[in-house]
Amino acid sequence: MRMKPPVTVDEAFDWLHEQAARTWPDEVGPRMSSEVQRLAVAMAAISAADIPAEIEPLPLSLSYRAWPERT
Amino acid sequence: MTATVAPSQLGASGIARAVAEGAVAPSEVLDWVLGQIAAVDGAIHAWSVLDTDSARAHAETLSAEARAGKLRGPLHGVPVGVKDEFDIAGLPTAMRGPDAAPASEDAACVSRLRAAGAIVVGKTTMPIAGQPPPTRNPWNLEHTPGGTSSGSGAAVAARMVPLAIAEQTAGSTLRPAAFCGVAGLKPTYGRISRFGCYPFTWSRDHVGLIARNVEDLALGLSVLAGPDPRDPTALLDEPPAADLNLDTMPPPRIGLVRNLLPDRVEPEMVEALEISAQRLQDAGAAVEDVALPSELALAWPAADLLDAERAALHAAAGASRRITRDQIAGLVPAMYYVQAQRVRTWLVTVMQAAFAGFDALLMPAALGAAPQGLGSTGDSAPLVPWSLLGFPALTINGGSTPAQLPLGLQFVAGPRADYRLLRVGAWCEAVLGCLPAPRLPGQTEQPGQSPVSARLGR
Repeated sequence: MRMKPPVTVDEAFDWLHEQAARTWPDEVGPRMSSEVQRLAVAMAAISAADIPAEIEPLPLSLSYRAWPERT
Repeated sequence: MTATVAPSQLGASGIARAVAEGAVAPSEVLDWVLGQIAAVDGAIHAWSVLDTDSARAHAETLSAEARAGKLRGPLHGVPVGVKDEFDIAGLPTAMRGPDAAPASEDAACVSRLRAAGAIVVGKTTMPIAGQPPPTRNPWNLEHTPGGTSSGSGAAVAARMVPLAIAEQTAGSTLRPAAFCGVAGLKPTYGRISRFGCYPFTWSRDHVGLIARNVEDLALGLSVLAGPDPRDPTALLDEPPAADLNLDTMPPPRIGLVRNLLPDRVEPEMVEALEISAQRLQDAGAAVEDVALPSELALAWPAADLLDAERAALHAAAGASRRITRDQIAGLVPAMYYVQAQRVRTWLVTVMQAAFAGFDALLMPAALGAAPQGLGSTGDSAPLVPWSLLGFPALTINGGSTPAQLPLGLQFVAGPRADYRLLRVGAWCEAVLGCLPAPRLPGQTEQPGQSPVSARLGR
């Protein structure tokens, strides 16, 4: 699944639902769609995020180093 | 000493002081606690396991030590509850599954509680396999106590124990504390070792505390925090002091947040926030408006995508073939999982501007009061960003609805500023006050009429 240009919720939903239906064919239904929708919305939002290129996926303890206070 | 002790109004710090002063024995405290549990837990259902025999034996030992003038630590004789997500040696951990063998050793937080002299009474309830527990809110039995630390919140509110271990991945410590009208702390990520805690996720789980008041939270954190080589994410910082030194504290600088989920926060919660902020300002706090940056809107989707950790956990544990919410999160593409982690790192930096010049930010701990029914433990939305970023967050009472259901305020500080946050919380709690004990079914004695309280003049 691409990230740029940003995916729409519908694109992400279709892609995720296809994977879900293939993995759990007996459980296709409203509950599956509801959970897939939640993830599709999240994927669309994250793919549209414009974050600086130098940002790395750091553990939290390392990302806190930018903060001055420790009290 | 007396056998008619009812230390209901003392909290953890008060009990510890009473034991240290010889006013009460740990075994007397435990007797009262077990009596209270027997009286009210039939209606509340806060406990999944009571380890009564072990607790009694331990209390006898602690009593003998106290008589000899030996105190193990700052919680000597204080009864505690532990969420059934943490290992207690000799007991199964419900979160590990129905066939889990008894744990071979204590979780780090449990062993630190014991080393400080606490009496582990048992395990408190939580949802298992997605099913909410039968636990009820002590303020209204028809309402949820919140979750997932359901039993910990209800047990403290119902005066069954003064202190309980909780855990928060999204909102599972502060929400039950807020719904039950008590105080709750989710420290900075890594402040308390997760060793022996069965994970929801690895990168967002925080060991938390629920207590009657902020003083007790500070006492608990001073015992539980600190490095632990068995948890690689544990911070190396030494534990903060238990003494909050409020006498030397200037009035806090508080940023009032009005733009956290403004379309979803219920009117009663908004009113409680506004009234509380005004009262704090009237008492001398510097309260100024602050807006959370628009970028924070990414916190919720990032948290959803990081749920892929749950899928990995379940897959590694050999989960059933039936799908669950956690398993569906395993469909998140790896690139999106990594991007969500990058968003988290970025937000930690972006948030500095919002916190600059403030000791803490003030906002709702929940969308409103505890919802009716036990089918859901409520919505964690106002708590999700701070669990994602690992910032310390605390809840204290912010009043009640006309139906007498508690409304919780949330204070948040920058990473590692746990001690500052606790001081702010204690200062504000002194202004706003704590809720009285809820009127409980089966309660024959009105909490507050304790002989120990009278003897100590509190």
